[in-house]
Amino acid sequence: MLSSIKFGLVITISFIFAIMLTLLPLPGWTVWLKPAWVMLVLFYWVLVMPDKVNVTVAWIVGLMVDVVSGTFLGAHAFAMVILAYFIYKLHRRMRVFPLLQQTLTVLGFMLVYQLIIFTIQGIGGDLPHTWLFWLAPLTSALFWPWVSWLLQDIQERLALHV
Amino acid sequence: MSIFKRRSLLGLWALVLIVFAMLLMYFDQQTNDLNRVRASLAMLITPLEYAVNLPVSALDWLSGGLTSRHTLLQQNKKLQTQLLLLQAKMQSLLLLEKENRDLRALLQSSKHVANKAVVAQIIATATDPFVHQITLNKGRKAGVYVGQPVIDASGIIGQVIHVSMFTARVLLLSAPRSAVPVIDNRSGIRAITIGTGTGDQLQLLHVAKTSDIKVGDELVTSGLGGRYPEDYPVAVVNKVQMLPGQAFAMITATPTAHLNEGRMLLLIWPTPKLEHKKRIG
Repeated sequence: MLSSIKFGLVITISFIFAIMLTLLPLPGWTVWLKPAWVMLVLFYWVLVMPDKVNVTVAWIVGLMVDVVSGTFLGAHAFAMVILAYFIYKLHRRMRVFPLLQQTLTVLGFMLVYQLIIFTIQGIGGDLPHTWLFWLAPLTSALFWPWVSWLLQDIQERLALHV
Repeated sequence: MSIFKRRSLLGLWALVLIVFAMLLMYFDQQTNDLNRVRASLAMLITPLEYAVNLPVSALDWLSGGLTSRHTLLQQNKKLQTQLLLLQAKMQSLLLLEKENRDLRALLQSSKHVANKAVVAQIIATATDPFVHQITLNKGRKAGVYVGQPVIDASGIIGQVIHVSMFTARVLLLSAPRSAVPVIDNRSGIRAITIGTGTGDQLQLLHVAKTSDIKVGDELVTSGLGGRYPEDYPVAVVNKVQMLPGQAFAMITATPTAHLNEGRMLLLIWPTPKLEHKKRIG
């Protein structure tokens, strides 16, 4: 019981940090490079604890991202639920991937994520007029090793196990 | 959670959530019913926005505290000269305003003159670069309303689209969703500018090829949409192209306001045009 409270707390704090990173004011040239922090953190938690963090958490977190980023309510929730579901489906295989292969898988997932957001934005009418939009999945994937390493470290220090 | 351990159920639940997300998107796009949901969710985000902004404002404060006396004195002197100049200009403006009012009274028409204005600070910019929104530190508590115009020292910035208790979201001129009715200050041609999503380019919609709009023309708000008050600078025309294959002229303009710079903006409350109504009625 106690461990499940601790677990919920760690998850919540990790998502709050991810949202704060998303909000962080950065110099102008980085706008298109900003990684999808929240999606990265969600990816990690679904991968290691698929029975606790899955589509429900993805939906709630996605809604918060929609509020933060000013997109249509439900846009990021939609994308995150789809991704969380497929990460859940593939978590057994992805867990044993070597780091490089895992990073490439993350890149693939992030491209799908960006594509979903792109499509929804397109239906709403505001599309980015530049190819730089597709750089964000790349930076997200580049940050994957660090994010997963950091979260794993925290998890081990606090002795949170599935 | 444990009931969703079985996979078949999780798939079903995911589907339910997806449908729910789609419904939300539909209603958010088509109606304003979700504004209250968004406002209350924004309340949860507000402390985070302030927390993220803290280092930035701390740095501002620190650099203010560390400025030398000499620099401050210099700045003070400069500002005082500027103030004197502006006050001198103001005198002639007051005279003009009075004259203008008298003349308009003679013509029995009215135009807004004084607006209430409040300075607001930008506490966050939208995370998706193509969304073109900023968050201000004034909300419903300060009397901010949806549709309110926001300006800076040199022109229109955009309009408020969401208000929560302590913050407000502003849609910038440069967003593709943002349109402003303008008038060419030189020739009096009316047009509508829309954002292109690139940050420093606006496009003029449906301008006939024969229209008298030239590079360097100043575009000001026409006040026709009822959102923005009249005669605030919006943009300066920087390119006029007449493509043979196109039905309309391709005109782009640069916003006069500094959309991506600065931290202070002005929220204005345009005075309602009562006399207009009287005239119509």
